[in-house]
Amino acid sequence: MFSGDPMELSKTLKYGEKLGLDELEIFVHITDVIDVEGELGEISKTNKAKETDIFVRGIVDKRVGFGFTNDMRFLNDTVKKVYSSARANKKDKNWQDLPEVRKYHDIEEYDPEIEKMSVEEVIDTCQEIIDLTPEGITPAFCDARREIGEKYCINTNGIEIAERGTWNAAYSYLVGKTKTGVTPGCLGIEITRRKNLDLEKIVSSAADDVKLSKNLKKAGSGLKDVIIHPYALEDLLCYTLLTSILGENVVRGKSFLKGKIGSQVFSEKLTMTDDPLYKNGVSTMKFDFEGVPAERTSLIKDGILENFLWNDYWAKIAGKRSTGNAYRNILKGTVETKPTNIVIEEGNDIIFDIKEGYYVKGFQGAHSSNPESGEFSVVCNPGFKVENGEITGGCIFMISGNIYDLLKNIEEIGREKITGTNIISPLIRFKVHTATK
Amino acid sequence: MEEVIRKGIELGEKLNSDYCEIRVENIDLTYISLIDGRIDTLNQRTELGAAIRILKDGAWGFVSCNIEDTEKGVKDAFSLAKNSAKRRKSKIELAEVKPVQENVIKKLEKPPKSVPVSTKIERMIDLYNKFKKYDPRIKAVSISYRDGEGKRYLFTNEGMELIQDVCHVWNYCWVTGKKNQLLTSARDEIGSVSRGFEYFDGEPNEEIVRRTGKRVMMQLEGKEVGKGSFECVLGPRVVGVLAHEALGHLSEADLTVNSSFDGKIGEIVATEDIRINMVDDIVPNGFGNYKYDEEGVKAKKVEIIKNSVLNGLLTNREYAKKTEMPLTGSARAEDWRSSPIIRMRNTYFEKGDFEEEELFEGIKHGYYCVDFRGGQAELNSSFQVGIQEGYEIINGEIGDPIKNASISGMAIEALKYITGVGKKLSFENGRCGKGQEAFVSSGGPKMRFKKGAIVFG
Repeated sequence: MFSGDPMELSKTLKYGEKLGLDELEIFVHITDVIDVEGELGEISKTNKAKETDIFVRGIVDKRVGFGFTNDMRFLNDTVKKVYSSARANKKDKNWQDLPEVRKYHDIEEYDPEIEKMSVEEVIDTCQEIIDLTPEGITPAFCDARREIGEKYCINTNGIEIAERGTWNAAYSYLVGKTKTGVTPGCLGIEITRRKNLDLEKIVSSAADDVKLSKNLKKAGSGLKDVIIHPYALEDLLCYTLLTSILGENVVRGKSFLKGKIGSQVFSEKLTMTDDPLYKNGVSTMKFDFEGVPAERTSLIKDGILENFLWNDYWAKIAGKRSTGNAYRNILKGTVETKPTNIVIEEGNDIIFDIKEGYYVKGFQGAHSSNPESGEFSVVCNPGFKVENGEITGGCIFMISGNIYDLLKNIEEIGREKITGTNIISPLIRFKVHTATK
Repeated sequence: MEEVIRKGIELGEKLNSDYCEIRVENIDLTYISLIDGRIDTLNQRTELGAAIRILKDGAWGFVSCNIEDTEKGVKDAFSLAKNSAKRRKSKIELAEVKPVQENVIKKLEKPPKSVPVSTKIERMIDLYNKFKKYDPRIKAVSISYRDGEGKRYLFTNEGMELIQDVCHVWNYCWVTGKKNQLLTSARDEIGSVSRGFEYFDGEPNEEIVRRTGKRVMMQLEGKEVGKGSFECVLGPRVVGVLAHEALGHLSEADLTVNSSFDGKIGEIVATEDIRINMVDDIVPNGFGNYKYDEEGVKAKKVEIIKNSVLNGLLTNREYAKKTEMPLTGSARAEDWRSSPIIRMRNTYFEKGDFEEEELFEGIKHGYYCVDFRGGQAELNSSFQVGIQEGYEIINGEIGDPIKNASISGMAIEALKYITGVGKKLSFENGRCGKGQEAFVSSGGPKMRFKKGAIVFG
């Protein structure tokens, strides 16, 4: 299951104890990627990378030290550095202990067919995306990728667990010329855990958006019906609601949702779960980045706030149990909290059944939202006009408001879930303020 | 080190690569995160790895690997390039460069590695304490510090043997304020690639706290902004985002062909009433500064917009050849895991000749946008910039602060609505994310736009 040497790693635990560390955790993350890039209708570059990231966390007398290395041979040296950085650190009175052993769900998203994919096969996939692009539309960028990942976690509290996973992904980013310039860049993307990419769908969804965008329509200002696609919604939620739903931000007084568990905070049409066990989900996993079992967490049920997401450290401070949402930032080495697959339940409604409104597949500037207040002001691009239930052309406009008000004012939720990258959601229709010149 | 790289290059030659490049990065990094006065992360690590890029039969192969796997990496990159080339109709070619053999030394007063971690932590704790004293409405403070010091090697089969010292120091604060039920925040980001830890002598904690604290309070006390288009004055930090996001990216040659700038070289793209100049260059203390880029091309000034005419593009060797534009030294790579791509360095509007009062004169009701929180643009030149410090302008005077504002527009239209360019130039330092992270500066003077260009929402 794990291509590294578990014996060597458990020896390192003993080495850490000998050095004087009270606790020690080693987390190994191995990725093996073949990635093929296309540019302007031609294959431009093929990339291959195999990377091993080893994160070490050690504790002496409630002082925490962190270390990182790319090379198993330097593991003992890294543990030594962790020991000295822990001793140099200040005592963290909130520190309790590393995660303890819990039962894991029997889940694995691994497809040997993806592992077997050759460089030539990934190149062929990228070429097929280019070839599928209709005449008159520029295949500006495209990409095909196969990835194998391995995770392994061992700590002095008894955790020792490994898992592997596979990903197959492709995207097509298309642009069309207009009389005055270019259409917005339109994206078709799919990330799957099995070898079953639908290349035609990836390209046609982007190409259809380009064709619609060529017919530029005027947008109006005021309180309007706006249908938001999961591609756009996930961007907006990521920088607003999903930061407030993290337990650490609640404890730190940075979350608008503090004290609201059990309250009707959102529209009763909204039910949202963090589901790391979702079949074929991009973030489906057996355990998180500190070895805690991944589990389903109901966040919002019929508009009532039910839970926050926790990693082990912040959960223990709040007297809760980790929800298995720890995440390691490779660059910083930090143990953060992160949602996995965010799943929004279907409604019953015909979402486009409106006389006049808008449809949005991408937001510009979602990252400039104010995560604490939930205020956002973003450009809808690509955006489309809806007239008498039909999408009739492209238009660019702004929407602004507060995410909490937005999620209170859900008009309708569609009948069918669509898989974005980190969110699986139907189309959702909101009433929201639009602004144009 | 050099011997390992040379051996790899020899192998690339032996395989008959059209072009073989090995970049090695050897850098010590420190990352410290202070959450509400508690050290959340203290991470020190060494990054050592090789990036191998080979061009064969007109296509690229790229491999990133550990140094000791360099020879295998060269073989793999060669075979990846050969496989990619089978599907290409046209061949990728590179503009000629004169190979450089140089050791670029950086002299630092206080090299980050020489500064004890405890000193770095003390500075952060002092910063936190000052934030807490600033105002009781400040409820949470996250401070991140990063530094790096080491060398980057670039060897090619054309005879390039370039070794450059690299260094950075960086500080980021995210500060949350609360008044009654209202929560809000402001951010501050500073850094240098030309100075060591001494950089912070010129960026005292008091000043960071004053400017960031003020922005948090303004977001708590400010007025909601009007929706729609207004006459406005954008300050240097916001003008810089416009230069970078909305125009700079369109002039990156790999993006230009799919953008609103395609085919417009030599055309008037900005107002003709005032001469508008926008450049990407090396500037004193610029956060995007370097001597040679990651292809060994010397960084040169690019006059993107000159006298209101679209004039220049940022290129790497591949796109300089493809577009027949000059080499600008704009190929950058985040680290040894990444392949170099076309990036900006320090992007700004050049100064004009408007007095301060002329810029605000006669504006009955408009806005003055001073600082931003993130910005994003698309290839059709549509831009969005979140504003974290802004004011009303009433009858030519700066009025009450505004909150929760964001501006947007089409940059190629907005350039035609410029009615004034100030005399004083300044910059902000930040990071650009075009798939990879790069340190950049952007800026300009204050600029005035008439109604119709910029939408507030």
